[in-house]
Amino acid sequence: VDVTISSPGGGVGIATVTGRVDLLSAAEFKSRMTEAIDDGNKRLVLDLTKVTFLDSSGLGALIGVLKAARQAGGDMRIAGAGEQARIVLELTTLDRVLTPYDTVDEALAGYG
Amino acid sequence: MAELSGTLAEERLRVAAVPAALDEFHAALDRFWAAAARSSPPTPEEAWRHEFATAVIEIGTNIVSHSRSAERSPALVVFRLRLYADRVEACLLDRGIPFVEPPDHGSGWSGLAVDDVASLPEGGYGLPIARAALDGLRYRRSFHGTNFWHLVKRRPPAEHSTRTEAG
Repeated sequence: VDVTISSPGGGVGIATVTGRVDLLSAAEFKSRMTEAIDDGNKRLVLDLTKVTFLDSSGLGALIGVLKAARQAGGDMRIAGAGEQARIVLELTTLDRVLTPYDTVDEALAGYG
Repeated sequence: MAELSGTLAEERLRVAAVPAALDEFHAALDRFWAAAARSSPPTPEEAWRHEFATAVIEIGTNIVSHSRSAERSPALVVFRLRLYADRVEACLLDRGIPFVEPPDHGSGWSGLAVDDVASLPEGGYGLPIARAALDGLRYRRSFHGTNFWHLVKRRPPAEHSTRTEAG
C-alpha cells in the first residue's frame, strides 16, 4: 500500500491511499497513519479512491486509526471508497461508524 | 468436460501458504472472472462478484495467517473456483494444523457497540465477513489431516429463474 499525506492546515490531514489494504499492508498502513496523527494531522480524511481491495485486516486498521485520531482529540473520515470497500463496511455494519463520503470535499466540509 | 459437469468456468491454483499467496489468489480470481465473463449466462453484477471475492480472500487469508504444517512449513493450499449456472463455489484445501474457531465468532454484528468506538475490536472480522457475503460456508477436517473449506454463493434468484426458463 502507498500512503501520501497532505496537510492543508487547521490540523487537517488528507491521506491518499493506493493499492490493497490487507493482511500484507495493514500494519504498515496503520503505522503511517498513526505517525501522521502524531505529526498534528488530527482531523484525517482518507481518500480511498485508489484502494483496490480492503479486507478484514484493513478494516481493523481503519478502526485502529479512527481510535487513535479520536484519542488525540480529532477524528477520521473516509472518502471515495469503491464498491468492494463499501461492501466490507456494510457487511460488518461498520458503515455506521466509518461513514463513506463520496468525495474528499464532502468529508472535509464537516470539519469546518 | 467442463460442459458435461455443468461447470461454466474454472480456475485452479496450488501454492505455498505464505503471505505472497494472497497475490496469487487475487490473480486467480481475476482470471476466473475473465473466463466467467465469456460464459453464458454472464456473471451477475459487480457487487455480487465483490462479495464472493471478498469471502474467498478472507478464507485464503485465514489459511495463510494460521495454517502451518505439522511436518513441514509452510503448508500447501489447493485453491479451486467453479462457476455453475446457479452458483459460484470455491474450495480451499490445506494440510496445515486444524482450524479452531474462536468462541466469539459467528455471533453476527448485533453486539457491535458502534456508539463506543474505543471498544470496537480491531480484528476478528474475517470469518463473519465471509459468512455474511456467502450463502454457504463449510469447514471440515478429514481423517487424513486435510482442512477443507467450501464456499457457495448463489446467483440472484431472478437471474437463475430466467436461465431455467431459457434452458
